[in-house]
Amino acid sequence: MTMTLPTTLGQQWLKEYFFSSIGASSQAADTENLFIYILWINIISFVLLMILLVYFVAKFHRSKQATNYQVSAAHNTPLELTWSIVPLLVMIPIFYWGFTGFADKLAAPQDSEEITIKGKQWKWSMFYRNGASPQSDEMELLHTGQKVTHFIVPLNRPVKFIMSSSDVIHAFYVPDFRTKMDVIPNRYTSMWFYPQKLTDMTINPITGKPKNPPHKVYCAEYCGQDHSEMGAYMSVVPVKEYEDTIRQWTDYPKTITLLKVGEAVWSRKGCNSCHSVDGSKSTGPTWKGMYGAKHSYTNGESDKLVDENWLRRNILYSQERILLHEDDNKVAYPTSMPIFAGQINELEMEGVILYIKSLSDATKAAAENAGKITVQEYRDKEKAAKEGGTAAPAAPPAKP
Amino acid sequence: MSSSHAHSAHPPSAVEDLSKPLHERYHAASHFKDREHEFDSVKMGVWLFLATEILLFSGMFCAYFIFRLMHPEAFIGGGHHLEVKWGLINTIVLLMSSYWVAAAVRHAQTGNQKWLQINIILTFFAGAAFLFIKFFFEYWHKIQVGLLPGKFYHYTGHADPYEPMWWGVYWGATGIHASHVIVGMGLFAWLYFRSRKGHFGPGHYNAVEGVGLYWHIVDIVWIFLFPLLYLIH
Amino acid sequence: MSAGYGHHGSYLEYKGGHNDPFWTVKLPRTIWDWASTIDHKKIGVMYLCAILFMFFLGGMMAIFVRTELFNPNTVTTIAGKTVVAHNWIGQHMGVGENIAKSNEYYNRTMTLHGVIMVFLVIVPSVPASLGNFLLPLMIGAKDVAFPRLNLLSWYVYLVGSIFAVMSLVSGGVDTGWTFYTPYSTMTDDGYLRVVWMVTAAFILGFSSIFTGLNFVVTVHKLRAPGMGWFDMPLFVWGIYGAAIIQVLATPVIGITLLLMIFERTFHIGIFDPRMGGDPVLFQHFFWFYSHPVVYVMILPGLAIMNEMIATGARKPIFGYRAVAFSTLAIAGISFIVWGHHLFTSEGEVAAVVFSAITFLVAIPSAVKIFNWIATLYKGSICLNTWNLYALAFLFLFSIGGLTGLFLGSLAVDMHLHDTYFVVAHFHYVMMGGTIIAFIGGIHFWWPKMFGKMYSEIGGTIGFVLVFIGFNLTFFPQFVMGSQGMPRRYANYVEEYHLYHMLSTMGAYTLLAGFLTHLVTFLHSLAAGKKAPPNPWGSLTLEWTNASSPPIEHNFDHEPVVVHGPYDYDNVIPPQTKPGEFVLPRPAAVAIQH
Repeated sequence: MTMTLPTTLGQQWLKEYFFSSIGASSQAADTENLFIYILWINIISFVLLMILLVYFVAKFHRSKQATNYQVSAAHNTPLELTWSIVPLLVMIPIFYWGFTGFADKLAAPQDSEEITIKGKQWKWSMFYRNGASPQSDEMELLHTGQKVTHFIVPLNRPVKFIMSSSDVIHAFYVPDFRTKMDVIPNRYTSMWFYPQKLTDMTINPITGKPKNPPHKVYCAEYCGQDHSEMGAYMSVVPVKEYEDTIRQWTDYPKTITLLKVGEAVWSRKGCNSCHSVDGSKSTGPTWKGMYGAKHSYTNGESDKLVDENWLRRNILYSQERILLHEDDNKVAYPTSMPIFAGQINELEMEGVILYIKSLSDATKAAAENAGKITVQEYRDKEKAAKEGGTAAPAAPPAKP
Repeated sequence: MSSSHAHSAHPPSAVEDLSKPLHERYHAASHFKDREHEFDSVKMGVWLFLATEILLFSGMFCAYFIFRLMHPEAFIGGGHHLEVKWGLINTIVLLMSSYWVAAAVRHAQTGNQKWLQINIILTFFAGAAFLFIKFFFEYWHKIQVGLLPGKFYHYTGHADPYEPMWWGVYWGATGIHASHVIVGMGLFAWLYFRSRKGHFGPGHYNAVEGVGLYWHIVDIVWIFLFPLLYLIH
Repeated sequence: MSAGYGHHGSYLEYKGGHNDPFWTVKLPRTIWDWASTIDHKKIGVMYLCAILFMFFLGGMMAIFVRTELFNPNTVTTIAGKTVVAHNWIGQHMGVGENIAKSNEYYNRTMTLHGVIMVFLVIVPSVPASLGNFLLPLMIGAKDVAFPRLNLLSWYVYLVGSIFAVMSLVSGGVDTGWTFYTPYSTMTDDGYLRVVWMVTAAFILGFSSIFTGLNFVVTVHKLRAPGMGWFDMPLFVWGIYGAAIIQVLATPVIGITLLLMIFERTFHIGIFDPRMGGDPVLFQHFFWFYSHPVVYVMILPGLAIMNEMIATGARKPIFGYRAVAFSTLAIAGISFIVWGHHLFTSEGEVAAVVFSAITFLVAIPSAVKIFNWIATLYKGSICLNTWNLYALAFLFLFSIGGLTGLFLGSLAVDMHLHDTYFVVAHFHYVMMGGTIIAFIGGIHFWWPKMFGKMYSEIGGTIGFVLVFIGFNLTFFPQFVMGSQGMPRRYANYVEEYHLYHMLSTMGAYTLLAGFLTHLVTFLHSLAAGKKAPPNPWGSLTLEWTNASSPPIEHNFDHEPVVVHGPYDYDNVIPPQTKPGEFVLPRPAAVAIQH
């Protein structure tokens, strides 16, 4: 910024009052400063106007008509020009700082930590670069028994959210960072910030409240019934803890079976927003009976069998084959599926393929049998295979 | 009775010359100075109304251009289903009707009752011909093959997945236009019955003028729709 | 001819015989006379009644919303049992402890408040009621240019209202008054409610176009002899500016709502992202209309202010031409600021341009405020109820306008967009502006419209309650908005509880204030003193040339304009008690400029 905002009188106190918390990033501080600057302009102009108003009403009240009621000028061009131009001049810096702050909030640095955010009535889901999703839904935003997602961002690293919605328009709003952005179906929007304050749950002895509690996240664009419950908590943690946590989050409890992992992937990764498992219609084809079926695609393949390789390849690079409708050869589902390469790990891939297999009658029994092994057993096998130098349990993606 | 005439400040003269045709006996509404004052006001009102019509259609055109930019293939593919022949014939029909309605206004101004009526009838039937071609040769065919808007769409031969949207735009634009043609025909029927009673002449032809302007706008909208829907591929 | 012709009594007078039996002749004939009237005054009065009724309905919805938010839904454990506490709407709508259902009913209530207040109250409020009544009187015309179109517009308004009520009784809609797609095309699938409500808005648009068109032609063609453009009262300028916007902006919402109806009934896909459509396009279309319409709402409020301030201070409006031109400037610029409703939609660069123009549109509004305060200088200021409202307007509208600076500034708007700050801002402008001016205007012209004086004591008590209640309701909303409370929330976190409680208390105070006004008005109709033709000593034609209430054709003789509408320096207002209104003494020292 070439022009820096002046620090105004009572800055700290006014910020405490109007924002209830001090912003958690440098952009937030800029926005607050601009807010307080406009606030002072407001207060000064308003008080001046009201002093004049009250003074005139007192001085020129009808009861004083005999002495004070007089002919005065009906217009005064210099005066009128002054009060047209002065407000304009006052507004120019407001506009300028508003614009620079806006640009600052839009343009994320290249090295940002990217987190994918999905909005769906009425829940936020987050996906980290390794495919991890937050697994602790333990916190309540409102006292209504509804648990919200609690996710983390790294300290002192630019964080960029890449957002889209799977139904209606939402808006991702983090009041403590003084920014928000609409989350729109079939389109990606983004926002970013630079967290500079660690979340700190230790109790402040004076106020009796946590020193720096997790940031609240709201949905700011009206989205229906539980719009007010569509929140989340966001904690800022040190980079080391961040990396450890998201690694942990890709993991599944050691005792659950692979089939359960597949089922968990279906809901955690957002597959459920487009693919049903009971045969009902949705944005994408249902998984029920998908395995073993034959389909035609826009890339010229026809009557191609859906098998393990097919599934693996299509989950990773979904844009290669666009399904055609059986009857009329037109594109069956106009909405395209996101690419999952890099978003899903081997364990999850194994699990979800087994899960899809278990939804077709012919392969149900076999899949359920194969899916009986637990995550622990799978890991052991993986380890053994690595140590023994044998091939990894899962085949690499087949070439198209 | 009382309320509708309450504003008539020019009391009808005691002895009215009933031999004169109605349009010469016409009195402007009482809040106007004279016929000319009323005519100017009516004309201004009609023009304002036409401005709203243009803005209504410009919203439609705006949607057309935005979706064309978003899905050009769908619009090209969809446009190929339209037969330029029928669009062109309909354009000619409407252009001729525009001439006839202009002539009707002219004959109202000169008081030529016979040709006034003939031209009104011609315009009415031009509108009917337009609708007949639209419905019988174009809509009917599309209904049969399933080129319908939105959820009724069941055509199977399209190349671009977004072609159904083109048909939404096509039916929306031509449907709103056709409804204007229907309203226009109603107005011409009304004009015809009034002209038979001799309501219109040099001194009073506000309604002919107003409906005529409306019809020109309906015509101009089609002049824009025709190339946008039929010709630009 | 019938008895109606050449009638010189009050327009309100029954025109049949004095001995007509009430039930069989007098009542049906009165109803028919009103239902078939093409008299702009009667149409104005009918609009006034309908709009006030709708205002009451929308106001009750607001009261329900505030009552629910006084204490939010909470799940607590009482004696080891989990119960839902503070579930006011849920309990009253018979869904018990079902929080989701209760949220849904909250959303429906909140939507109805918005739809009713915007489409049925504020947009038609001043133009259709006071505008209809006063415009011809003020320019010395016998009627509006197209009286039958005027009546048609009234019936179109009624039909639109019926559609809205049909939607209401069949369960209401939960789309928010902005009908944003794709939510509005997906919600309540299988029901016609949303289509009915959107059709209602579509139909009401026609009513608005007809009224606007009528007024534009009336102002252009029907001014009395001697009245040039700059001899018109500024009320007429304001209504004229609003009418132009109505005519030019309403068709766009017409086509938008039509497309939305197609979308809902045929699923044509243009606003549906899954079919390749664009939901944000709807927002552009919607605000291309709805932003100019914000000025359709506010310009008539500003218009009323001119009359009240000039009469209340007995001064010419300071800088008449500047006020008149600022009206046109607002009308013009209003068409190119719609993008400021979409600052957070996609983060487009175009937002910068819209932000700049938004600041620009603030100037003419600010100029008006300065001019009115300058008008008070060396005046003779009365504190009748209506002038109290005028002064309160200056207070509230200044806050409303100044807080707009926060929202026009892009970086700050990223934070405040869709929070209670916005809610507070537009209530300060729309309600603190238009509705306050409207209520003031009703008091101001009440003696002219109904020929009766109202009780100043009742009016003042009502005013005090409204003023306190208004600020108590909406000021806390600025604070909770800047602290991050999003709008349209059925529930909220604890931090905002205090502000919500204050806000609800304010809402009930407002209700008390409006009910006081209602009682005052009813009392005036039943037992008010007969009004003199010009009780406030005003100089505009409706006071100087017409009786209270006016006769059926407005004037005995076509008025000829011989002085300006605010020429208080030179003219003692006619039709007043001699000696009651004096001329100002010339200033001791001549003003140099």
